[in-house]
Amino acid sequence: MKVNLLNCEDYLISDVLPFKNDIFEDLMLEPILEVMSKNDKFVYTACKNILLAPTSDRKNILHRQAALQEAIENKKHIFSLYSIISEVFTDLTLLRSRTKKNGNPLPAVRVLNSIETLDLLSTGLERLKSAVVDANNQFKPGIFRDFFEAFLKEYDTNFMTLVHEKCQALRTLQVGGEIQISGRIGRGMKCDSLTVNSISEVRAKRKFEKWDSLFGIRLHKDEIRISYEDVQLTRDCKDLESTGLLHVASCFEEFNNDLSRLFETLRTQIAFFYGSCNLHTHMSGMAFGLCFPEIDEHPRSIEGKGFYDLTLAIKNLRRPMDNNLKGADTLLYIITGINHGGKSTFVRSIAIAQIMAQVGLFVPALAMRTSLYRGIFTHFVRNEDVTMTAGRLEEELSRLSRIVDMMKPNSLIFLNESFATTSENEGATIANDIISALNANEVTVFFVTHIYAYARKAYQEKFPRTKFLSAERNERSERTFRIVEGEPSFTGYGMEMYREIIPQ
Amino acid sequence: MISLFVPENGLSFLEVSELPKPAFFHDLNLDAYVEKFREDEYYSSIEPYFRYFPEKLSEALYRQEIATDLCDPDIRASVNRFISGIGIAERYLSYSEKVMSSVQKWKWRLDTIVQYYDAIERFCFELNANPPKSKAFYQLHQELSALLFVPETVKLRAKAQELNAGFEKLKFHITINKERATLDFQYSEDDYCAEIRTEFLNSVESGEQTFTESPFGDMNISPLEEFILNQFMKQDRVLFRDLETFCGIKRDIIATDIVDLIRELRFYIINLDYFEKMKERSFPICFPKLVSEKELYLDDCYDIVLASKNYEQKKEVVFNDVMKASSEKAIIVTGPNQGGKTTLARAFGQSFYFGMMGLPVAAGTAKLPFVNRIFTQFASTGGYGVEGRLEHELYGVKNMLDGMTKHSLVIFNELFTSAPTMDALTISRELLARLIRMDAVCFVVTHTFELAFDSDDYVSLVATVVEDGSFRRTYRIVRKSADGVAYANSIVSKYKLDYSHINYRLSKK
Repeated sequence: MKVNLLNCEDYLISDVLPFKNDIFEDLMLEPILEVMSKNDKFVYTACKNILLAPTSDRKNILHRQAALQEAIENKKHIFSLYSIISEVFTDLTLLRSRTKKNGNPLPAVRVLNSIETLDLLSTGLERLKSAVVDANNQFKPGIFRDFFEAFLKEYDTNFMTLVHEKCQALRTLQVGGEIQISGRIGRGMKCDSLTVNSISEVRAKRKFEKWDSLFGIRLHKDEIRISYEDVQLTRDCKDLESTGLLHVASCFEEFNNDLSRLFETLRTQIAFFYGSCNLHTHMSGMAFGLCFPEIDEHPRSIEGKGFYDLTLAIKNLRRPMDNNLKGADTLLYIITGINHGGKSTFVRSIAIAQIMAQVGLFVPALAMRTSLYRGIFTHFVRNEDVTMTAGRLEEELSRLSRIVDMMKPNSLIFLNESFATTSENEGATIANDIISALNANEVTVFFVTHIYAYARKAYQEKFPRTKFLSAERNERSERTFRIVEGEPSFTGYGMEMYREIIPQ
Repeated sequence: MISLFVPENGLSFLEVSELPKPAFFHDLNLDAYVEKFREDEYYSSIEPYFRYFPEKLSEALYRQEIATDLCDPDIRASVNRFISGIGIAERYLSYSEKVMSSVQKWKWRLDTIVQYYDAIERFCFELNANPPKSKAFYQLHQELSALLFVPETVKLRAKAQELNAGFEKLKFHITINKERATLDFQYSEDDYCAEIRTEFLNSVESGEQTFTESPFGDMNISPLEEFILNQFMKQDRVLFRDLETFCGIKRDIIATDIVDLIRELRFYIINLDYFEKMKERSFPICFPKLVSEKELYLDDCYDIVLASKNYEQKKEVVFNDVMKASSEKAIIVTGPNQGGKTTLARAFGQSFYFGMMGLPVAAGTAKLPFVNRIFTQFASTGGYGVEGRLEHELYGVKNMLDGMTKHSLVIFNELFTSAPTMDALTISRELLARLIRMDAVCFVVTHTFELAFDSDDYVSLVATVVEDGSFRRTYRIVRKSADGVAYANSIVSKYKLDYSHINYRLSKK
């Protein structure tokens, strides 16, 4: 059965975030995942994979938001569902490692292993069922309820009885059942089209056959006895029986695999909700504000109040500076201003919020209304390359070129101090060339820069659909770490800082 | 039977096997290309065809038509089915020669006949339904159809099918338990696994009904099978007697023509598969336009052997363009060491080889003049003293001049380096003039850059170096030297990040 908790049925995976590792580093997402996973490796991996796979499918995001809201209202049940599934998996892994140790087992042993796995899975299923029944009573009608009901219908009592019966039938073979196999004469006079007809207990009437055969009487007209006294014939019969059994075992394995796959998908999906609930609990405690974003149907807009950098908030346990953004129909954000004035933090807070929004999560802001982008990219200056000054521009541009390879129109890119490794004029020309080409293809750009030549040109020539933001300074020229709209500032005040640190 | 290499009477497999290996194989890395197929089951029956170079333009075009047809997925699938169908027949035939039991021997022969003609018939049927465009396939279709309508064949097949139907009726079932096993002569369609599948998995379509692997091997009959067979022989003596009369004597079932045909088809397919694999890895491949005049272009060409190696090692592959008008006489490549010149020479030569063989070439688009001789002289490394090397090279040149035809391709790579520069220049000039008189396609990689200035009719290609302080080579070879470009801009254009490129790259999606 399909598990559609996380995604709608017709959801297609789209690659909004092709450079997952770069984003993960640039936005420093590790602390967020630590809060989500609470040291559970599986939750960590599941959440990481899902967090780094935002989508541009509006329907799916709304679906996930709804499911997540249901989960947050019923955190207790999500926790218990997750722990039951995890336990089943622990048992299953144990069983598998044990059977693996024995190497390539005999056919009969393999059948036995299949039965044992089936037993384990069906017990797990029973436990899960009872937890689902409990949860079903608590959840309001919605995505989870739909799933629970479908689940209970698929694995109803009749089905469970059937599973038990088949297990039993297979066990009889171990103690002396019989197998019937049909075939015909094929190519080169060899047996062909071999099919297992049945596996059953030995028919009772045959009990007396020993006596009959002594007197040379046959029970069935055409039946011919294959003598077990002939060693070769006996071996062949045993081979045939084993092959038949293996064939049957593989059918059960198929069913077992199906069931394990169900557990696996369920585990991943529930893990994400579990992780999200953890994050929700953690952040609610700090009360910096969380909201489910409103998904704008129009493209190219990001608006909201009280955006803060989630990573920083988690790390510092302190309310970071928050910012507002009004970006209706905007393609270019040029962010300038004082060094260490909160520009990178600002860009990071928007990028994280946007990714979380497109994942279907709540976002670190008081309110957010945003469009969906077909691709999200970050291009941050890499610290580790500082020493190789000769190749830095080259490194930057080659990275950008790889990004352009993966980019589609209607994407979003965060450029942090890009093109700063060449002269101001050259940098401005390159920046202008690249950014205007990106904008012409409906790619929204956040550009944190010190290239004043570029920012001034953009400001004076009144670039369309462009917002100018800069790091705020109060009356006393002190940094407030807030980003506000305004004319690009002329300097990063580096000289001031220099004077501050090194007095004349 | 028709040959897939020349329109008229082609060489048989044995004759092809005796062809010598072309001398240029080593220089052009084609040795390594052929070597890639060493692991293939049919390597030894395919390898000789690599030496079967065409003599006439019509032959090259004939091959290209065949290869083009084989690129059609439906035709390719039919041909593959045909190849494997005949392959199975060959296997049955070999079984019939190996098995000891005579009744089994007869049956394998019967199976061979049925399998062999069925494969041919099916192939004809599919060619009829989806007719290929090439003359060769048209003729092949005619010949195979004719084969099926020979009265003896018709009679033979009818008898074989009748007998076969008789054997298909022989069915049984076995019941096995700890105490005994019994045999009975009914076949039951009940499938226990299907039951499980419908009950548990709600699916019937997946999974095999019958055993995928018989416990008794492929060829010989096992004691249990023999036991079963004996029961049937007692029951139906007539059927087994008929089999003996029909298959008791050995007869030639699979024609040698067909065996050769299969080898030839395999040659085409193994190569096409390889080129298509490169295409999947997003390397360009194309069929070149083959012409009789000496005009050529090769866009985005690369050394296919090096490219697949680099791809596996995740290294960059550089594509180069080469172009020559029919009025231009020679292509002269100069530039720094390790700038990709030798690789380009190889790529160039490979393109001609593959193009003439009728195969695709490793390039985006291509137009190639027909050649029936390829001569390469690559600087020989070691083995000779300084003087000895020059002498050796000159002997090589002499042999080449003796063997040249009106359609020759000559590739020189760094020749006469052991001679003083002036001498090398004089020799090269003299030789080049002679080659041009003989109307050869000349591709010369040389250190003596003065050669390129000799005539306006020479195409000059230069290997470029990116000046980023590290003297790293781009391996890109361009028609004119690219100097005077500012560093930053050169990097921007190297990564295709100028306005028009970004626009182009994004608007494609």
